[in-house]
Amino acid sequence: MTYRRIGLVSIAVLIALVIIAFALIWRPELTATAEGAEPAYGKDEIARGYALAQLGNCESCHTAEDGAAYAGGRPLDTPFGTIFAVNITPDRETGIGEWSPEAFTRAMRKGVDREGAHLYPAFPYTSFTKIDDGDISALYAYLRTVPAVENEAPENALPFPFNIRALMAGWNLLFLDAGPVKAVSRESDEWNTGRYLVEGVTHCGACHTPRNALGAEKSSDSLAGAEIDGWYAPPLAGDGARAWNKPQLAAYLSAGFSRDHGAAAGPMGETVTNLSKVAPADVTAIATYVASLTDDTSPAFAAIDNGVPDDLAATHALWVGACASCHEAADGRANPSYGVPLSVGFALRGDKPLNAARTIVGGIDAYRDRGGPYMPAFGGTLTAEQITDLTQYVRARFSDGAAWEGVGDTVEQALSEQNEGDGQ
Amino acid sequence: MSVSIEVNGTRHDIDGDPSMPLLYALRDQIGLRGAKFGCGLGQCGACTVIVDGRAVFSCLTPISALEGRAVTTTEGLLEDGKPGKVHQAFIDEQAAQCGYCIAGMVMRVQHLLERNADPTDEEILTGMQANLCRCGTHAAIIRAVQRAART
Amino acid sequence: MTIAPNLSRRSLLQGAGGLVVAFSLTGGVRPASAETAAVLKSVAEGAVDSYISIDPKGMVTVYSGKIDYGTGVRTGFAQMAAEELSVPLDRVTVIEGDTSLTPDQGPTYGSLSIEVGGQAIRKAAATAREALLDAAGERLGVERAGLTITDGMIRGDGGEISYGDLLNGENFSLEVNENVRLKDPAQFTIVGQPIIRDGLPGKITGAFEYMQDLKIDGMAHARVVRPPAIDATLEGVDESSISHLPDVQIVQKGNFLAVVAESEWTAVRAAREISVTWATTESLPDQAQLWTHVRETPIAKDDVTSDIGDVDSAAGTRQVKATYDFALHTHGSIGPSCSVADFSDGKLVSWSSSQATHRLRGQLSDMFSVPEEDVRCIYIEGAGCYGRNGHEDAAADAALISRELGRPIRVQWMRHDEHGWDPKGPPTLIDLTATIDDAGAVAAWSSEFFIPQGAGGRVALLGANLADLPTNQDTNPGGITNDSAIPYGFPNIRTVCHRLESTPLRPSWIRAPGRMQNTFANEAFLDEVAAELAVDPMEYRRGLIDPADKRGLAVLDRLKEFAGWEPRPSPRSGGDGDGARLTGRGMAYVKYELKRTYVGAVAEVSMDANSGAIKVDRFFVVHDCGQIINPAGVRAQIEGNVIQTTSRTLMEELTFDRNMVTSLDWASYPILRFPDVPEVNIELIDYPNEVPWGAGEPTAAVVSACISNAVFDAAGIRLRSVPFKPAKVRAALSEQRS
Repeated sequence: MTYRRIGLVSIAVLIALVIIAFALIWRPELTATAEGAEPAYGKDEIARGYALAQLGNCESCHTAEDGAAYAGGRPLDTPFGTIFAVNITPDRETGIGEWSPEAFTRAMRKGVDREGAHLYPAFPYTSFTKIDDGDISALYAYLRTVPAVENEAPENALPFPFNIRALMAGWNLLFLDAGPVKAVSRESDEWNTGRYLVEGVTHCGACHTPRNALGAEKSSDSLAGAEIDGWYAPPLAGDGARAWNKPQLAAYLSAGFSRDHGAAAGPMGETVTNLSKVAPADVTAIATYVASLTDDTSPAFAAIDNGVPDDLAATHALWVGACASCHEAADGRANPSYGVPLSVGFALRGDKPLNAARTIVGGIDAYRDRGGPYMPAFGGTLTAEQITDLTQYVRARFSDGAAWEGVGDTVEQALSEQNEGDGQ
Repeated sequence: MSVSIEVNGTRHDIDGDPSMPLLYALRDQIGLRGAKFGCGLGQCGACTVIVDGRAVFSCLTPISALEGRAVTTTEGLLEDGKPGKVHQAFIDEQAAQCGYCIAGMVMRVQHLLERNADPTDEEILTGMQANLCRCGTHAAIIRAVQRAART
Repeated sequence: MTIAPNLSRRSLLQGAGGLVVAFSLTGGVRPASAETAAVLKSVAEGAVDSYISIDPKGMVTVYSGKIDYGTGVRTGFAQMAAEELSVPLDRVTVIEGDTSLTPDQGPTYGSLSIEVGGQAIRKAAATAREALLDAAGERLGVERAGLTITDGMIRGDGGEISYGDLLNGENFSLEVNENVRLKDPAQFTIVGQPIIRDGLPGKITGAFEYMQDLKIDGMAHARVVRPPAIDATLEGVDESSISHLPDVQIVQKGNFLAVVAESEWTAVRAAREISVTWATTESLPDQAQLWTHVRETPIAKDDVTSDIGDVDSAAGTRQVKATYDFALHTHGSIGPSCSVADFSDGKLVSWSSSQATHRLRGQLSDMFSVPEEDVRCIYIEGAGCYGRNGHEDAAADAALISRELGRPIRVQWMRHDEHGWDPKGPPTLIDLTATIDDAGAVAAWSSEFFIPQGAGGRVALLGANLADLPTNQDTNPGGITNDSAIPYGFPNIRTVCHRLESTPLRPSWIRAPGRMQNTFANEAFLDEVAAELAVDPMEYRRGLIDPADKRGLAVLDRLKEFAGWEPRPSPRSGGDGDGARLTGRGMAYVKYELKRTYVGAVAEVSMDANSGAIKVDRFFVVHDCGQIINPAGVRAQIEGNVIQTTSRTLMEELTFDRNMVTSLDWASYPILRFPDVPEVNIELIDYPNEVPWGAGEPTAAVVSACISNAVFDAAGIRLRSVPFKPAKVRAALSEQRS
């Protein structure tokens, strides 16, 4: 083969590759909806869409702090940079008012916006792709009914090369398994509903599944627990999640509390608040499916109280005066504030002090208006050193784990993120 | 154990169980009535005082955590024995029914205005929400905060 | 005006029947020992001396059996007395609820403090004034008509003599003249003024002494250790569980268990850390089946509260039927109940925030089998209670522990004591039927109320029951049949209260007891009828009120204008186009107990048709309580009524399992917070020449119906079950869709 010929072949291959790449990357802009031509949506469809929006935590991500609902602007910190959630209200200029049902479906299934640009998987289309047509339509219908708000979300702060959206085409080749899930016939309808929700709209894996170097959920470690936003989302599958049964999960997911496992704190508090607004049957289905991911007949984690740690005797006074009223009721008397003996929860079993330290700093106040677990924030009351000691105290006393590393740094980090006046 | 705490500008040496919450030191040892026992759980805010510029629930703050720190109670807002600015705004609006929550409310307002001298109505509502009132004096309290912010 | 000076002293009961009071030189009144130069203080009803005394300096002391728990009636009493006596307000001191010093005017409930208690004081003051004028006329040799009074000084024909000099430390020794000439309202300078409520500045600065602040010499701190079930038997106490705490005494009597320490925090810890074994029995019904339980509870008797015509034979072409229910509520005092007791030598002095100290004296006398004259109950203002909460029970706890240990004891209930063990507002279930004739008019109105038997009597003392000491066991939910009858003129009406033999949890009265629940059902159901007839709810009511009831009609007419009410039927047609946010308005009306204060109110709500969350945006209230004693006090009461009842209506629901109450704190029994507080607009109608009525409760009666009716207006769904939690609203919306 001559060089010339090689050159021609190379050019041909290159052209072919460009065409293939173009075909892979390029997505057409879809026609904008006509202004004012909004069809009437059925009340049932809107209600279903509203429930799906709650299940999907849509409002939580697409609403900035103190911002209008669904108007975008909330930052999401990723290892690749900061991505800002966009405005998904029906505003035609800054929201998704011009999006047709087809455009919306393409975004949900393929991660491509109406204009044809690739979205980043911070928007969990790898999960939403599993939502069926009817539910996507319902979600679309609901989002058409939320008040239109003019609000341009800030530009993403992503360094090169992550700011090249076209790269997502390759990422999608690797990690996007488009299309709805298929029912497993040997399982119950409730189980299948639960799986459909968990793998799809509720996108539990977005927090609870560890991610690979390219930011994709590791399918081999599905729901095995992961670090997210400075918290650790506990495992929902495997041995780490054992002793969670369906009634406990159902209670936890709808009320934020299980007597046997404690309270839903941190970001999960918001999730539970959203789940409290959907039909109990959906929550039960999720509980059914998640319970099936572990051996729920295995024994519960044993209650642990190792007594006051010798090296933290001075911290014991903090425990008695600040914590014990809710976490150490004598023999069977009810704990106020839905407090639990600390060894029942996940926070003290984990390898890192994230959840324990952050909960002490920021408290739990997701349930104030409807009743539910509550804990005051001690970040404004106790010093970083006192909170650090307290974190080590509860680890040593109420778990069998080794003393945590880096507690002080975690506490400082949590304190720096705390809004002044939070909780108290 | 003895802990040295500054309360309303005066140093006090508090003796006793180090786990004892500040509330009991204020009420039973220093003799200040302003901070009230409401729940002992940090849920209602009747015990609210300011510690080093932060509003805290004194019912859940052990004295052992407070060595060398400065505490302000509603009594500490008096100016030459007369009602201070926030006090006077509450008095002018007659913003108390039973009044049991009010000393805590006053401290919450003080804290709010210290960090935001001109709060919007929205900021007042969210800034006050940690404190409970059972008599339904909220509307009068909101007027008092607005008045205090104006003066 | 000043409040009673510090009562933090012992030895208040000296000798048999030694009910003594000394006039101090400064004019205040302080309880003192028998050794002090003293006069015997009358507490008999009808004696002027029971209500009024004037010292040589002209300082006036008013004695009231009714008490002020923040409502402002103390200030009202002082205004009424000062006005009749023509003395400046700052010369008047009010002593409340001291069984040794004040007359028994009955418990402080039912919005009767001004109408009954205040009027008695006013007549006593007027009788006193007339007697002083007579005496002055004699001393000055001037005809009565030639005398004038200014600031407690009587002048005539160049001479003058003060009240203090006239009395010279003597009693009046007079009967109250029920027909005494009262001051002409046109001459009022104190009554009708927005006087700042007594004690208010001190509450804000921290100087005010609450019951919870009271300390007396030799006092120890106690906490009661509650069982884990209403029906429980104490089987054992592991004293070693608190051996690490210094100097704790354990008091056990039957199933009553308390810990006592010199340091309050030690007592708190001991109560928390002590290990106790109880045997428990499930005694409560399944809350999930509560309304079935209520409906199936045996009926002790029927109270027919109105029976006009014959509802059964009324001719009609259709019927509207509905069932309403109203959850159990707790008082939720922000300060848990507290009491100090000194029980020594068989004599008991009990300080508490009881709204019924005379009744409490009887109960404590029964409990400890001591004569009533050996029990003195003294009221000290505490946190607001809105009815019979735990104060009396705390008093019983403190007295029992004091008797056992022979030293003064302070009992401070913890939050879980108050939420778990104060008596509760009972569940209320109401069936209503309206029969509509072919002309589109209501031919018959009939209603059945399923409510516990009993009235506003003595609520059994918790401590007595635990310790197996005597206490009456009848149920006392308050006057809850009130306002079951309606203020509207239908040709046939029958309203029946099925008085149930029992109710889950010990009942008592909470602000507007019965009136709130009954008015909710009546006024919301009337709205249903108006909607069925497609008429404007305001005009419909106006046409149903007795045309002779001009004050009732005036309230509605003023309300229509004040609230900017445009006549139209509910629900409104179409939304306001703002997504799922719906807005609506609703009204309700009450003539309290069909014989006193009138209230008409309009609520404006917005709601999220998806989440079911209701936000009460604003209220308009028009209020006629006759002669207004203190408009600032009345406004504060109305505002508090609206906000508190909005909380009760939207959020509050006590929970229990088969053993006991499980909503033991604010996390499990949330109440309204600042962001959700409605704006309250108030218009007062003043009738200076009419009897003054109360304002502490009536507005509370209309709030739930206003909100329910406004939600119907907004969304076309009818909320018949308080509280209107989002899940119930979503269920109603879902039902509406299908």
